[in-house]
Amino acid sequence: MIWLTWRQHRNEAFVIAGALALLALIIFITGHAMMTDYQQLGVADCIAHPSHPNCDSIVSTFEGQYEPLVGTIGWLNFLPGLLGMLIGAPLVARELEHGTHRLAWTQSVTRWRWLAVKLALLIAGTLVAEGIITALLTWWFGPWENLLGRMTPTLYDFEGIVPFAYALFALALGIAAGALLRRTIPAMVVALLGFLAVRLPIEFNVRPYFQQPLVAKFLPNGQGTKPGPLDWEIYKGFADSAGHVVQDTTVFDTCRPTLNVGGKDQLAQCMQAHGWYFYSTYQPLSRFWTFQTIEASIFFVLIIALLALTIWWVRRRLS
Amino acid sequence: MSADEYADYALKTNNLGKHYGRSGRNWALRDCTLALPTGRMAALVGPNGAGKTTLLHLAVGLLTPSAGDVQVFGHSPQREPMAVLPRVGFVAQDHPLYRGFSAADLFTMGRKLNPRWDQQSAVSRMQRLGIPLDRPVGKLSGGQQSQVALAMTLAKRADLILLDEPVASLDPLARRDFLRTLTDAAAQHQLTVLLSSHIIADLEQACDYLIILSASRVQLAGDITTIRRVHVWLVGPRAEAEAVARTQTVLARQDQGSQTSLLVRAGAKGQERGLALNPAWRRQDATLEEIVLAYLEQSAESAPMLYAEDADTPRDMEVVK
Repeated sequence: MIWLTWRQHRNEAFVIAGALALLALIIFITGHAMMTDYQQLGVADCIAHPSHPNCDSIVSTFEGQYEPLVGTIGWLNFLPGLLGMLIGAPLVARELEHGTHRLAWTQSVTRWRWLAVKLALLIAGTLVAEGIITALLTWWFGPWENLLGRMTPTLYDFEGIVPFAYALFALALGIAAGALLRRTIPAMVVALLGFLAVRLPIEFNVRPYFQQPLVAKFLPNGQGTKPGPLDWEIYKGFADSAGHVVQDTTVFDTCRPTLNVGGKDQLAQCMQAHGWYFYSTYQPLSRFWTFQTIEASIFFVLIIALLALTIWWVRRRLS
Repeated sequence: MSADEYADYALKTNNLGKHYGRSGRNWALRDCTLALPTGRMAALVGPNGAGKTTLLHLAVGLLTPSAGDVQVFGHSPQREPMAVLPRVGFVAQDHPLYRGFSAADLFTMGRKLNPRWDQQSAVSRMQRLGIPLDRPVGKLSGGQQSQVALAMTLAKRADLILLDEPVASLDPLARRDFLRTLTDAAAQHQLTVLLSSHIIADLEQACDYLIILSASRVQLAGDITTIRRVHVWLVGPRAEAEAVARTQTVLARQDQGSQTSLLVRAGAKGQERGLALNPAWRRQDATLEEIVLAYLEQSAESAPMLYAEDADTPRDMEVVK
């Protein structure tokens, strides 16, 4: 079975290995340039000694230069979806479409073992590939850990253990869709859209509330507590002293005239006079591993459910 | 039935049925009771949709019965797959193969997945037929692909070989070669073979046992020699046809002018009841094709269901149910 699985997937394995090598090259070249600039522009010094002169402009120069690249790397969020679509969906569906399951399942191997070996090897392969990608990206995002922090989705999505959970979930979803739908193309569509339909709402609507967000209230002149630069800010706006949100327009309509005449202090005075604060909710950097564990656990449950469904379906329903 | 009773037969089914959907209205196979003795080369004949594929898939464990029971060498393909799978070879319809695999790859797959694999016979069969071992099978001709599939199945060293319409897509030459390979191997290794087809002429040459499946039920099963002996045309004056027909089991009737031919089923010894009394009537041999067609034309309910035993122990055919 191991030989058969390898023989059936070796072309895909070669393509993935080639793509990984290319990705590694790109990551290495861009990462090397980025880290050189990080030192030479003086960003590293600014992180070590925040009171350095010109640090604001140094940091914003660096960020401005490399933000497009970070945005491009963000497209890698679709990789698990592609994996589920191109490797997961055809696993059972293509056999059923071509009738080759009748060849495979009538050798002296039960279809349970056929499926178990395939699942085990594909999961192992996925973990290895994802391990390489995660190692590369964790290294690449090194400078940004000091600028954005790992809690920010930009980094969070590619570091720790959640990337493995995303990849296995997409794979399991693709395999299950292929087994249930029995057709490769519809299963591919379901694999990709289904992955996004779970992955995105969890990031945008669920992850911010894994734990009660912390609240910060402060004035423009720095009075009060601010979220740390590496914390993940979820909501940013204005509130009154009771913590009720005040519309941005209300504040600007009232205080903007003073902003034009004076500086931060005048805006602070205006806001103070009305009892208004900058208000933000955030998840502190210290919760990184807690959040990673919670999110990975959610996907782990989904993965187990999908694999169990696939196994039951192939053993019982496809007969 | 006990497991012992099953064990003398390569394949035995008892009221076997399979339906699709929850309602249970679409029966692909129903009330199928048959027993295939070991060592036979059996043909499974029936119109499209009669349940031939379903029966074969149930026998090899690809499907699970909705009703009744199927046993291969006394074991359930579903509950005891590891007792059945190594002993059964299956060539599915259109002989599906991994198109990107070469014959050598497929043989490696067979070797890795089967305990009794005979690599030597598979390779030498390919060499004898001039089929390249290293070319992807998707680039071989249909006849060559079917030979690769057959070689894979034979190399498994199974005791029972099931083939679903193996020659349907082949040209006459490839069909002859395929059946020759199959009959040679069956004779050499004392295999039991069950192959479904609707090309009766081919089956008559290759097979010695016949199972007719129509309207999802077994209409006739038995040794081909016996079947040919007990089915006969009675030809006589049309005026007396009704009277004669009343005394016989008539399967088909053809009227030509003043003459009428009745295809009847007689006792195993070929004695037509009451026929000796009427000298105006004469016997005429029926071809296997005529017999098969007569059974296929019977409607599901009216057809006489027969179970014909071995020709070596001639006795009247036993009516099942």
